Amino acid sequence: MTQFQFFFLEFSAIYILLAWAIYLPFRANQPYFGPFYSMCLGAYFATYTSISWGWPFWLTLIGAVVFCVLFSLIPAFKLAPLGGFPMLIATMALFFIVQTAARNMQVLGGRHGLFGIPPLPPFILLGITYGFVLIVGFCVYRLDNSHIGRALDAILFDKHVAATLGIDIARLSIQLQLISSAIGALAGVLYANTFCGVFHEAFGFPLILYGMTILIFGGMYTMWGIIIAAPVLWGVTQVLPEALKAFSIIIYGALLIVMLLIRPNGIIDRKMTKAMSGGARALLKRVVGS
Amino acid sequence: MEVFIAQLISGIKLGSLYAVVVICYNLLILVTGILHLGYASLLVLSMYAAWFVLNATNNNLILGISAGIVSGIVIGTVTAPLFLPFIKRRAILEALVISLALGIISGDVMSHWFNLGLPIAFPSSLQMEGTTVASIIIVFAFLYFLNRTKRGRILRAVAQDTEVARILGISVTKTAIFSFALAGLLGGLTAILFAMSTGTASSILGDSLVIKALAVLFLASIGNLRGGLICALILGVVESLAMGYLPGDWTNAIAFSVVVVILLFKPEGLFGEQH
Repeated sequence: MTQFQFFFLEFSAIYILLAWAIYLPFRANQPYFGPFYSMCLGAYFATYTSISWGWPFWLTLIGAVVFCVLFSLIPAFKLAPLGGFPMLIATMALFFIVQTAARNMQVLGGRHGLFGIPPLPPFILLGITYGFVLIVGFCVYRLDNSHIGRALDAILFDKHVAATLGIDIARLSIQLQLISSAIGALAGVLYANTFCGVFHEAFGFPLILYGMTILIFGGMYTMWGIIIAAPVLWGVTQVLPEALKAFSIIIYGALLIVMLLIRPNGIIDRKMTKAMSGGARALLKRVVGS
Repeated sequence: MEVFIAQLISGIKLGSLYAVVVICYNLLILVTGILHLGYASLLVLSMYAAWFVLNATNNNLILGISAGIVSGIVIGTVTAPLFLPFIKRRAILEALVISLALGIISGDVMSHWFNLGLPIAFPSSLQMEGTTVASIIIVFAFLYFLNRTKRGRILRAVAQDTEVARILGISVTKTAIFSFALAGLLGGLTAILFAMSTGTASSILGDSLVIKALAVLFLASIGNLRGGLICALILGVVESLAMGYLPGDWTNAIAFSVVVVILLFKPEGLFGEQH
């Protein structure tokens, strides 16, 4: 396997995880940017504990997830009743506080970053990453199609009606924020292990832009579009001519604006997934029947 | 003590500039309902336009200043149609994402197409004293416009109740475009004041400016113009003192910590709602 193929497969999976982490709260109209700071915290936590304390991969992973969930706990309780602008701005602010701290703290490598995680063999890392994609994907799918998913739909369409029907919006919001942070931390640990380290520049406005482009390009209201959008968007910028590669951020930004203007529900929306699942069921019936 | 006084004066100077930026944010939020995250980057783009013309015309100050102001208006007006469908649908989140994308695009344009991505320096002839006085004049002129002119009253009417304003025959779309153009004009003026005051700019200046504008907005409560002015001055002084006494670049983190603490523990801001 070439290095390009490895990075393509690995980053596609990591960004699918990140985008699912953003998708869950967005699904209930909660603009929560917690996965971005959780990814940053998770990556730094895994790198630091691995290098300084010699923790093995699985321990760093569990530690990072627990740490990020605990870190998100107080903001989650306070932000759950607010939602909207305050949630978005507070979580974005936390993201930049974490990034500034990472940039300025020498113990975290400062401006040079922190490197030296013992590398995992590429096939094992890919296996672990795709294993998590399957597990998280299955959980998100189950959640989407459960009574919680229907409650999230109700909140999305009219939160007042949802509250009248007895849905505890604040509690659901806290749960979503914590799950979202845990998935973000997972993406961060895998990211750090791919690079065998971490540096602060990986976590800035471009990461937010990239995550949001995947979500909006793929489709904000289904989990499936993300699976297509993440590899396509990452791959497109890699196969661009060298002269155009420098403009990848402009390309993402322009794509984001165009998508929002002409197809705000993304390339795959709910109607499409319903039609596809209906078609698949009909095909299955025909095959089984014959 | 001398250092403290110098930092204090520098802080007031900085705070008065933030005050103008915060007024522009409030204007856009109240009239269009949009929290324009890219506005600060577009303001810095006006600084780059002024720098470009200054370089091209052998430091002709009049042309340079005009370029900064005109580019502010043009950028404001040209980007307005991108937001209109979302303003009509009240799709705040989508509009916010678009503004974020615009900010990141303009930051990237500045870091690739101007001065090989290096920070730009304005000629010493542009760096003048009196930016604080100029900022105060701009703020008071804006408040006069808002309170004493017909167009200003239209803006306030739309800000207070869009539906009633529409029933009264006010074109909400035209008013939104006008508010973008006005915010662009104020942004262009602020860009020139920043150039005069700091003498330099870089593609990441917009990121730092938006952080501080948000800190002030939430500290004072969104839409509160007077509170915004006071908080902008406080932030300028605190930042200046932090720059003088703290190591590293912790000022953004301090500004953002203020935002987080206010949002978590006093989401209505220090000054409450007052349009």
